[in-house]
Amino acid sequence: MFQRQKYVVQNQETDAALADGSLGERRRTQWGETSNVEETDEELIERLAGGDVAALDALYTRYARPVFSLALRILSDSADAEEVTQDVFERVWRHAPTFDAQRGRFGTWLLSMTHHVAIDRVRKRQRRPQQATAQSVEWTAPGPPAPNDVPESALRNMQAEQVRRALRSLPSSQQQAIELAYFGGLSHLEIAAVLGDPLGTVKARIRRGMDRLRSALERYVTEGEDV
Amino acid sequence: MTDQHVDELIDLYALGALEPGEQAAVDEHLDDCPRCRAQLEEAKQLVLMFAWTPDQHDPPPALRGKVMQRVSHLQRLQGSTQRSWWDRLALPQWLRSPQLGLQLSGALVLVAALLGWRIFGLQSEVTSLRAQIAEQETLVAVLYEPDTRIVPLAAANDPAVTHGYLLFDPERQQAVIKSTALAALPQDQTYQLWLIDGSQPESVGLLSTGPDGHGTAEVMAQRPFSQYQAFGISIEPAGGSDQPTTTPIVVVSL
Repeated sequence: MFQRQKYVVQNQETDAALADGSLGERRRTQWGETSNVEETDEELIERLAGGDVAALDALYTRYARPVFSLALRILSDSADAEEVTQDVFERVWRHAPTFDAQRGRFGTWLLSMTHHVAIDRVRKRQRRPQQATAQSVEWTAPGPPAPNDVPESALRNMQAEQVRRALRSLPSSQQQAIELAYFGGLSHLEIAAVLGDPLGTVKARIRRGMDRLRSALERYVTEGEDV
Repeated sequence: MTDQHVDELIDLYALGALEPGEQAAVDEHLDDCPRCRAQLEEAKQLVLMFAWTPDQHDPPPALRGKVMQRVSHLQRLQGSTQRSWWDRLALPQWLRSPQLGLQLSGALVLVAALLGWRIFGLQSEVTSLRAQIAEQETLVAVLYEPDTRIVPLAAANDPAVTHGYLLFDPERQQAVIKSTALAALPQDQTYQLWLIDGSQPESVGLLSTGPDGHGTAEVMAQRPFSQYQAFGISIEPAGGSDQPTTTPIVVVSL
């Protein structure tokens, strides 16, 4: 499913960029500012594993923005998000020799690690569940794309837009439950306590929400193919 | 549990929203069930996409320098550690010491004694882990009930402090209390749990907590929970009391 989606997403990106005339400009920025744009993430990771720290700088250029943004979303604190970003890139350097491209793409691995580190930090803060209700659920439009996007991050940004739209289309109670789990690091028990709803209701909301997301994303794929 | 498919828990698992006891039970099932494993993989793919959805913000420009400086420093450090490790291997002066045999046999006796002591410790750890597993299983069973309600246990003297949760189905007589922050009591005291109907508290069990403030206990009521107005916890002498003898540390309405 996701393979097919990627194709559609790329078309949409091109269409949107052509429509507002930004494509040429973005390409120029990419080529003008990044000397190693042809190198894939996997090649950079290999160089890094071989001890070439400059490769980490190139990976930072590509991924610092989504890493920092995810950490900021989870921690709601810029200083904490900076520390997580620093920690994550240090881990990239440390684990570069064990990164296995067969098992998944670099960006996915990187953001999973960011999620893990940031959620760990949130839980260590021992934030009381009650405080989590104060965070309203917001899925606002993404900012402009990073100038140095390369295939995976650009692609992911476009896919993210679809997922973001799908999430926004969920009933707010489903969206909120899913968000408290993923960005709040709460268990379903804690979500039920925070929202004051029966456990069964919370579980059902999450499940229905996830099912809706699946069918919404499949629909985008189908619509994309029609175009 | 292990024989039944876990469809209804797959999404929660992928979101990281299961309680530890539940997660262990699902893991056990996944070991033998390719169908549920495939479902989990699919759900994880979807959840992975959430990571790219937050609003995008640029990190402060100075962060790049900090990251690169730190990693370069670590790399230099790693290089020097590696050298000294080899240096030590290459210069085994102390290996030629005549007292070495004596020292080694003394050390071996000490190691044997420590191992014996450690095995003794491990045995009691196993006993305590078994009890913890039984508690987790009870908790998991309650979590499975769709009508289970969760009440945070706010401290009586400070509503901002939550000591844990009470999980109950209003139509049932059995519930579970899970404390997350209740200090361990001295040997001669215990936490006692009460259900309150009118002004008459009914004892529904005892709770002991570990050094981390965590504890789980089953609560057994004489009637369904919907027939009680409140739940309370007091500190009582070991073994419990017939009626509360101290001011409750928790009273929450149901």
